Amino acid sequence: MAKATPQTAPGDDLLMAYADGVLDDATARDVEAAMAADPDIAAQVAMFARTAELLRADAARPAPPVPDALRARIEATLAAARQTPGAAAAPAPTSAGATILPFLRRAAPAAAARPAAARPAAARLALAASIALAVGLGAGFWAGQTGKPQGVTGGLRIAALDSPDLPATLASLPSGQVATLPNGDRIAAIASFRNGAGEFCREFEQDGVDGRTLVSVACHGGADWDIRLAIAAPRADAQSYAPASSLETLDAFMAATEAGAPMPPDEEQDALDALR
Amino acid sequence: MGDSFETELIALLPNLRRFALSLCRRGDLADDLVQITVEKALAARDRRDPDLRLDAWTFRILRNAWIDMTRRNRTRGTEIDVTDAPESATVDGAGVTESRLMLSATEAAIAELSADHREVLVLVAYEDLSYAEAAEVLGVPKGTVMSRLARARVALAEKLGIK
Repeated sequence: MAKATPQTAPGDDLLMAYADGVLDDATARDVEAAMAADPDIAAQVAMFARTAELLRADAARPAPPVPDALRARIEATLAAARQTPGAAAAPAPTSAGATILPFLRRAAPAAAARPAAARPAAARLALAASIALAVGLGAGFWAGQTGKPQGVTGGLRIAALDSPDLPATLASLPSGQVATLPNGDRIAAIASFRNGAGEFCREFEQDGVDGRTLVSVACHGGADWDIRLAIAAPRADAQSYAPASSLETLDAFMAATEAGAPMPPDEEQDALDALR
Repeated sequence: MGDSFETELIALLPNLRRFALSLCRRGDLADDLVQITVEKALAARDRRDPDLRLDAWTFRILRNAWIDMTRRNRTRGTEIDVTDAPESATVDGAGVTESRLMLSATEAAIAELSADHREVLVLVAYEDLSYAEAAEVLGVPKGTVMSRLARARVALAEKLGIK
């Protein structure tokens, strides 16, 4: 009996699709011919059919019930979103352990190719407003028109972000790696991405010697790095998770600036090389 | 009073939590993931991909949140890989017991598979997504879903003693 030739022997993916009944007729005929020609192929299809049957039986059981505590949290989230439309991404008030500092975009340097008003002012204001809502008004704000902090609310060490060593670190440190600045702060590069305006941006965390972690986003506006957002979070200890609640505002910021997906390492390296 | 989007979201909570458990295998983390997913879905409801079913769309949000969590965890130099952390570890005794009691033989076998295999199995077999929809959730081509799912089913058959 002729066996299916190697070129036409259907792979496991097709055999599974046949067992799942999702192949078109022509392809299904091919699989059936291969099954008739080779008992091993027929046995493999039977195996896929059996797993489908078991999985179907198991999936017919309802999903485990949602714990009451979680349901209550979700209900609270939904209720909060209804009361403050536009602030739906706000972290639950009880879980917020973070202080948010939104940075207004500073005036683009004359050398920058992009016009200063690349993003509509209204959108910028909407973003700032939603972040303010997200954390309440206890957060420190500053408008860095000159790029120089005018003042700091709440004792945050934002000066660290103005460190002369930071730009070089941002321009060289691959995501996933950690560097120590001369002042002792640790910089962990989290990810690189492009925002909606096409700028190369980096998300990074800075563990200050004072026990606070700054989660920041800086974008390279053509000539210089520009800090766009900083979130001061209590330090997560080495054994615990990054406090997810303090990162939700970051996610809202990412969504509002249309941040792209994190770049794979080679793409990131190309972008870093292009800065030089 | 909630609108239909909220009603549908609430109806999906058990499914979201089951998917979350398949990813992180810890009740407390699964709850956090579901919570984050609901917040993100609310924030992005106007930008929802109209071609994607609501469940597939929320699964994608949840999975991205999970990737973000693990990515951060790695970056922080934590030595425990949570995807491989034994369920007996520390945190949520009650949650672990609960989820373990709920396991069928099939689920117990799935729990021993790799993370790649678990998630694709749960999406297609339990959440009834098509290969193409699962591909949307996972951000990979449909062919990748098919080969991954086939390997997962072969591995599952071996664990369950199916020839």
